[in-house]
Amino acid sequence: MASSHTAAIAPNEREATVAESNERPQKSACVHDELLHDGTMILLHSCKHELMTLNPTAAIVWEYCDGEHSPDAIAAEIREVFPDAAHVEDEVMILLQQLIEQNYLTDENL
Amino acid sequence: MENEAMIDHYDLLGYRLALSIPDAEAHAVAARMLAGFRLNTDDGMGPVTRYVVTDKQDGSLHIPDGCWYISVNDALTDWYYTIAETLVALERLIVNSALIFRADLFHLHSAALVAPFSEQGILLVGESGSGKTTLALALMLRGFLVYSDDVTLITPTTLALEPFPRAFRVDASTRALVEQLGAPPTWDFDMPPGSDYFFPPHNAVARVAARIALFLDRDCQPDQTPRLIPLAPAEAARLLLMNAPTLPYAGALTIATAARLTASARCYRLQSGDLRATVEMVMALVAEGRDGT
Repeated sequence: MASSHTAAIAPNEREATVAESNERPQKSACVHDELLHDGTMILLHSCKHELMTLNPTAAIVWEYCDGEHSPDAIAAEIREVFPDAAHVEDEVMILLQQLIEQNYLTDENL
Repeated sequence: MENEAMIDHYDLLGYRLALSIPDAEAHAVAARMLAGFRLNTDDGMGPVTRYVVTDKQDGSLHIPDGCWYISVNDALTDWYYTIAETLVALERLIVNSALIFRADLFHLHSAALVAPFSEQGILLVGESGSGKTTLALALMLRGFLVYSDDVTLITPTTLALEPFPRAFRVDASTRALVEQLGAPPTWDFDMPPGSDYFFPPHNAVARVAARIALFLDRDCQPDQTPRLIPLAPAEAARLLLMNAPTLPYAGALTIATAARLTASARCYRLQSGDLRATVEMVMALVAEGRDGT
């Protein structure tokens, strides 16, 4: 059966490597998403047969990956929700990079 | 002894079939295995899949003499050395075909029951060997009505449990545990085709919604105290999806239904222990709506 893991936004020491402000992350067509009633989200990558769960903040980031919002714009949206949080921009970039590396986001626009 | 062209008709949630087994003894066993799905007549409505089980051949099939085989719509599927293994394979083939036919439903590796004093459907979810059948039988001794044993089918929109009266597979250890609890004499665990097939009364007919989901831990000891551990929605959804065979080919429907289930059902990890204590804990959960921890 599919493997699963959780992607969250949390401080860590990796450098963000995605991140030109004119890029627009887009959800992969292979991925089905479903919001759960507590704000977490489950992602099914049907091509990889893999499950991923997102905490509520990561779920908001995911929702903005519509090919219309740049990473900076997504970070700005998260910053509005969490104005006092530290490292929001870095954490958004790290999450986006993780989702790209694991093929949950396409990089057609990147 | 041969029965000439005896054909029985069955309906598994709309998957309709006509089964011909000329051998009288094999026919009787198959009829018992599929009794929950039997149709009294074929009313001629809708397509019917034709199954034949026999050991008679004209030499064109290239299988050993004396072996049994199954054909589906006149095409050979497989052959077997004994009638017992043939009938086991037949039942599995029919059920799997029905499940494919009803890919519009959410499928779950679980038993499903409802308490006689409640309209809460209960799912016992877990892989083979996790204790679903044992706990289901023990709950049946306390009056629970059963929808299914090994695979449960759920309507995605309403979360209603569909009655699926398939024979249970009961191994020796399960049988011993259930007999200790006082299984009635009418529960005959020794009926053909094999000693591990059991045909309990599938008596749940009203379609209730699943309201409790218990995920059985595989590694539990019979002398330990049972525990219920509430699950967060994401973990419950993950466990549902890991036990949903429709996930690879009906992903969107499957995860949507799983999300709906986690929203409307109380979900727990069940570390079962002593069977009596586990049953009491489940009954308390159903009756009082409280965690058992």
